[in-house]
Amino acid sequence: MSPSERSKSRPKSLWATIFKVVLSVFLLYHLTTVAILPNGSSIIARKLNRFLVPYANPLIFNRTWQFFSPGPMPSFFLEYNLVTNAGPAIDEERPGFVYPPHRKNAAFDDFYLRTLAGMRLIAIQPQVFEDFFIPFLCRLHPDAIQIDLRSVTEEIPPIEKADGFETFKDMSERKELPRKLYQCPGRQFSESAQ
Amino acid sequence: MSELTQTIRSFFTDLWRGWETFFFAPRDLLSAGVFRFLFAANAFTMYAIRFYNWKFYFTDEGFLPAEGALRVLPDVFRPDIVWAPGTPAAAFAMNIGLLVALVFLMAGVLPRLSALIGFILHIALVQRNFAISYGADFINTFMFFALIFIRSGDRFSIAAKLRGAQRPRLDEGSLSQLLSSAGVRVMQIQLCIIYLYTGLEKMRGDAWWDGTAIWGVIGNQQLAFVNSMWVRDWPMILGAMTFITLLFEIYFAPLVWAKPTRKWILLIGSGLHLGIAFSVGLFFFSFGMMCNYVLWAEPLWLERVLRRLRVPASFIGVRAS
Repeated sequence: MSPSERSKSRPKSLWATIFKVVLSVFLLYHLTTVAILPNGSSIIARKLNRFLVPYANPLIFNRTWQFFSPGPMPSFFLEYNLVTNAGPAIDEERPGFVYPPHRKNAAFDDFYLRTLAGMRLIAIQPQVFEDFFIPFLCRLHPDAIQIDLRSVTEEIPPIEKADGFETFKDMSERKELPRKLYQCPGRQFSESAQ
Repeated sequence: MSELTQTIRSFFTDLWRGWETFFFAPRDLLSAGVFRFLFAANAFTMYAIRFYNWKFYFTDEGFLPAEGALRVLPDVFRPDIVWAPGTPAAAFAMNIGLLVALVFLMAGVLPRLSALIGFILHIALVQRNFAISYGADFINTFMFFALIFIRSGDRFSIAAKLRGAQRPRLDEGSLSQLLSSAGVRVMQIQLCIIYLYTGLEKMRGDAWWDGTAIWGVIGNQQLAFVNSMWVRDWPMILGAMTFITLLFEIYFAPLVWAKPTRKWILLIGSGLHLGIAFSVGLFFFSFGMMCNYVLWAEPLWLERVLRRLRVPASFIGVRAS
């Protein structure tokens, strides 16, 4: 290598080394973040949270990875009746509406999957549920004054109990949470109905 | 003392060399090009379908108005910086922008810029409605991120076709080359992290431990595609499927890096994801995970496969020697 070539290659290699070091620091930080935060309750995560969270939260690098774990979840949906000026719309023991509505055919339906995910997340947060989801149901049913609602899960019993059943639907065990009456915001019973 | 110093010094020198080779060694970018294309095609389809209901998801017409966007998140997950769309017009524009960025990514035109724009818009929309996001959205975040680093348009792209026989210039030690190599590694490590955590989380569940978890998955009426009641007569198959899933996820990381086991673990993973896709309908998630597998493919083998699939040589691009 001639002296002129050497002088040309040296700065480039120096810059490459500097860049490698800077990039390595970033890679270490990024990989530490994505490796530690999925177990956010660990002592390491709790101690490092203040360094990692400001980077991870806005960029959604804080996800936990729990596909079907710790166990497959049972079916979960909401059943509700409307209470209108004419009284409860349908027999209170046989709710008239389901959310998300059951699929008619078992076909790929992205909207159903997303609605299901959203409803599950919101339903476990009572205040958020009451503040946002109930007004949404009320908007779906303009004549509703109140919503009489309960959460339902359908669990699949152990395989040993499957004999004699034709479908999973037949054998699923239904569990209902207590019913609750929610007021639609800004709506009241008319005096004539009372 | 000087011997000890020498030993410590050589230890750190070797460590740095190992790190440097692993993250920064030049690599052929055909697998990165195919990865880019598969990811963008999958994400484009997914977000085009989501766009059909954009008003429900991203405006106050749905069940989550803008004011509640962050309230669905536990405190610890709430971001300090938010760029979620606040108006229907912004939500519409961001959805369109995301789809356009994905088309550019698919074509391999301005791939880094497209990935960066796609990443920013994707996060904005997830921030707007976290509740309707699921696994496929979250793994897409990491793929967008990795592609910001990788010069993935050199091969398997329109850009490669237009460039013709001109060899792509990716000088060893250049900023672009270092970023590209690091980006591929970041995505490979990310996939290992995802599988490892998923496997370890499953170990905490009784159903995975006693071998009946798959029973609960295929029996879930909200997810299942077909009535798989026949498996009750084959409990051993059920148990085997449950344990294979568990073992696959926990051991993916060590087995994918070892050459002799690589193709087998990727083959098992493909089977697992196809099973998930066609039994419980999580197509985008499954294909999203599987398109990462290409990053482990040998460029020469991949090139042979593409030629056998009659992909035009000009589209595949020129191999970096």
